[in-house]
Amino acid sequence: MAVAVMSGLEEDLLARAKSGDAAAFETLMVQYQRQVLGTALRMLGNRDDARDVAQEVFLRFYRYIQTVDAGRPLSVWLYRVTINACRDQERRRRRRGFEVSLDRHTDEGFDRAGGEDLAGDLERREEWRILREALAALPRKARAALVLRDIQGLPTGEVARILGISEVTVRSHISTARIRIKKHRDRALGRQS
Amino acid sequence: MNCEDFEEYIALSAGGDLPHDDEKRLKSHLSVCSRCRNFAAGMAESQGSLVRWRSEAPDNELMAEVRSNVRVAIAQVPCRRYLLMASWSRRFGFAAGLALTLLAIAALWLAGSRPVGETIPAAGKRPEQAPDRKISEPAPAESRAVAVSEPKTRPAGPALGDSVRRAKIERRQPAPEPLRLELHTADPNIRIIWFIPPRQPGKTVAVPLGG
Repeated sequence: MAVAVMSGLEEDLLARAKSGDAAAFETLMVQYQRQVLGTALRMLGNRDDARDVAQEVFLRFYRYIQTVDAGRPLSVWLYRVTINACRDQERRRRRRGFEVSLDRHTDEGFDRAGGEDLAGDLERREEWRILREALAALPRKARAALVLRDIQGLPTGEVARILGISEVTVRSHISTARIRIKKHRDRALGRQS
Repeated sequence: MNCEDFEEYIALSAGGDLPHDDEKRLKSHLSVCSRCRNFAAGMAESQGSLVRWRSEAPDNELMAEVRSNVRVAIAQVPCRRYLLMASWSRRFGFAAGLALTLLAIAALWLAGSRPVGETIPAAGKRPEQAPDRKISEPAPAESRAVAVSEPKTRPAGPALGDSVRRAKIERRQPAPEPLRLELHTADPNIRIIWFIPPRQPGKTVAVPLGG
């Protein structure tokens, strides 16, 4: 998912939403719900936390809509808010004494509707389960960099801007994360790293 | 560089994040190192798996739940303007309250320090001059001079630009005494003294009267 400049249609929707058009706001929410929820699900690993974060992101969007720059992609603004909200959610969980365990990272919240290829579906699910576990074991910043770069497909420069760190640091986080994921995957599949 | 150092290069290269020069160095190493070639193959597979994971989407039920909850939360607030105002008032309410309190205290203090019945002159107006008429009022023919003495409570200066500045200066000064005007006559036993209300500029002057 490459980040582009805000399209004319999106700019128009944002302008209408800023002037109080509820339908325009709803359209923008539908347009970005997959991005926001997908990022939150992968960052937090469970349905309830991801739902809370996604709601928080859209409420912040509603509250601060007047400050959103129409000249810049809305997706970048939403990614930044999502990553920050995920961080806050993790802190809240830690304060309340919840452990962030691998068991909490489930496929709940993802679409489980299978296609005709049942064997292929099962194989894919198993593959994604391994990735979820590997992702959950990563440090938060490395996880955020990997989710944005490899799963959401953003360019390195954009990831750096969203996370507020340098591109060199992003590359360092990404290489660490990719090596760890590969090793976790090799172990899970019974291969030698 | 050893093979462990090249693992980082391989990880970056798998996602197209390795700079061109380093990419060439990595390729030349891979051509001679079978261990790193195996590592690179495994990394490419893992990377492919991550890319495929992109297609796993959040379920529609969850997305609908989020939208519905957001709609409810928004509806609980009367309007967006209220939200913005609430946010504004949280931020600046304390500062605005403090400023209003200080203004009220300053106004009360000013009112308390001013003598009863005194008013602040209008902006740009010069204060009333000492009534020269009184100095030149008919006096006995024998009179020699008029001594005008004013306590030095305030130096003579240019008219102040606005009433606020004037009020500040007056506030700092002690309450002025009335202007004292003495008329000496030829008879040393006879002196005529006027007391003129304060706020008249000028200092002790000797005005020679005819002769």
